[in-house]
Amino acid sequence: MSAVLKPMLRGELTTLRNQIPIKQWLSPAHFELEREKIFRRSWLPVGHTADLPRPGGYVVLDVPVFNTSLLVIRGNDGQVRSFHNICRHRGNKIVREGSGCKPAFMCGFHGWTYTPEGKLDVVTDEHQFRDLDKAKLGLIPITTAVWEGFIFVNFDDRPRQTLAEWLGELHGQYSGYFDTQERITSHRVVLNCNWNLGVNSFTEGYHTLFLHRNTVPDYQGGKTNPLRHRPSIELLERHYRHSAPANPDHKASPAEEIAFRCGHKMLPASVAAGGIPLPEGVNPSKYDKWLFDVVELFPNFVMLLGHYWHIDIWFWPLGHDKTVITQDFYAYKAKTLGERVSQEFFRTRGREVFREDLNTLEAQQEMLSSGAMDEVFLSQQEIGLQHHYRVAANMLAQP
Amino acid sequence: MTNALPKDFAALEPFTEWALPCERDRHRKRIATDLHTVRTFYDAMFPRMNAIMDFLDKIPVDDFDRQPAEVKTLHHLALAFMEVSHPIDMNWRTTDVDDAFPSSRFEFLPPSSVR
Repeated sequence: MSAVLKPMLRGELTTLRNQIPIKQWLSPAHFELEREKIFRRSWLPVGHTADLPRPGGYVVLDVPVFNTSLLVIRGNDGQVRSFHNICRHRGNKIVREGSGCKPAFMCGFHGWTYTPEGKLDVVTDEHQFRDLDKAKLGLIPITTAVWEGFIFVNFDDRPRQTLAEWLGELHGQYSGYFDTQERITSHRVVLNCNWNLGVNSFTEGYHTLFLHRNTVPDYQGGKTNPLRHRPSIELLERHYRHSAPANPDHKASPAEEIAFRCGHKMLPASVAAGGIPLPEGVNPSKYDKWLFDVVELFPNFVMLLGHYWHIDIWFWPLGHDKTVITQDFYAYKAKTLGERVSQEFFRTRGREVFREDLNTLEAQQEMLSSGAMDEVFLSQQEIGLQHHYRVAANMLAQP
Repeated sequence: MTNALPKDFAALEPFTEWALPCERDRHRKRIATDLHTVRTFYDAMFPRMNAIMDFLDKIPVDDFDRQPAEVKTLHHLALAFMEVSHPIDMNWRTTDVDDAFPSSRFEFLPPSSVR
């Protein structure tokens, strides 16, 4: 059989460039522009509401690109708000790290105390302060909105879009998908590479033919699509999405056979038919040999979305040549210890795949910053990268 | 932590040093162990894994904390089997994968540092 894949390809193609002048993207000066014109003007996902299920629930989230730490709290009214994690008195960091649940947030320096809604409630020995107006000294808020359990923030003084506008057509397409899953893995690494290179490593499938030969050699493509061309590619207004093709003849390894006796099949296997219904945004072309989707939420967040699992990858620049990458795996909520063991296969094999993805980044950064080469050349299977740099260039060109 | 296992699986008790409580610890033990030793553990577990899966599949996740220590040990041993399966099943040259980012630079956050 030699069926030719007819991909779904949507989006503006005429202004794409298949040669990217990468050298300019790696400089410190360029990064400073990105900080102000891209990161400050974007809605940035920073965390999950699942980490603060009840009023008083909080999580400390560092946002290194703005040299700050956020204290995200669910108020007694149920609303999720983000604040700079700084006491209005003398600037101490209120909660050092982690997550939890508290009725009030007290600074450990002099005991100033804030409500879960961010209002200044208690000032120790208040009468010793002259002209103190507690109403004006609440925690400093950051514009925050929630989408499908993801907490987004916007550091612009006056955000140019609502979160719904920023997400565009993705906004309504994932209803309920994330609610059925829970976090099963979290890894963080600091890499000496530019953040764009990090994002780029996860938004094309071309590399899977070669880079993942030791971990998942046969999970994609197969006889009818040996070069693993994407069955669907969408260049959205800012974001990007493609689907990865399953290999219908994937041969399960011995431990994989054992693992998927319990629970649901997960990567590197595909769910060939049946399974829980998926919302319209997942496998958007309804490809019959679908494995998973890759979604880039511009600028610095990538999701891999499968049947019964998804992976979040966060890329936070620490500077022009340093990035902290956090990868979180999510899976269907295991009901039995057997299902936990089944998921262990997925999360441990998946970790090794991720380690292969990470392994090119510092080598690439080292050589690209040598200045030996000005441009990188991109194939049609790397069109997501072409789109990433086009969207970024458009934002940088704004006044 | 106990080295005892439920009686149907008592023959695996010599391997309970692998029954570590979290992903981080099981992974670090794997890559710190030579391939021969890992293969010996894999070979001992492999013929029993279907029975272990059937046993564990009858226990709700929410009941884990109430389980006797030997059941917890068996659960952790089964998780360790999945961890060590990759070098064996994928025919790696060592217990670590070639051309991969060093996991020594990983920070394992919860839940990877917990279970």
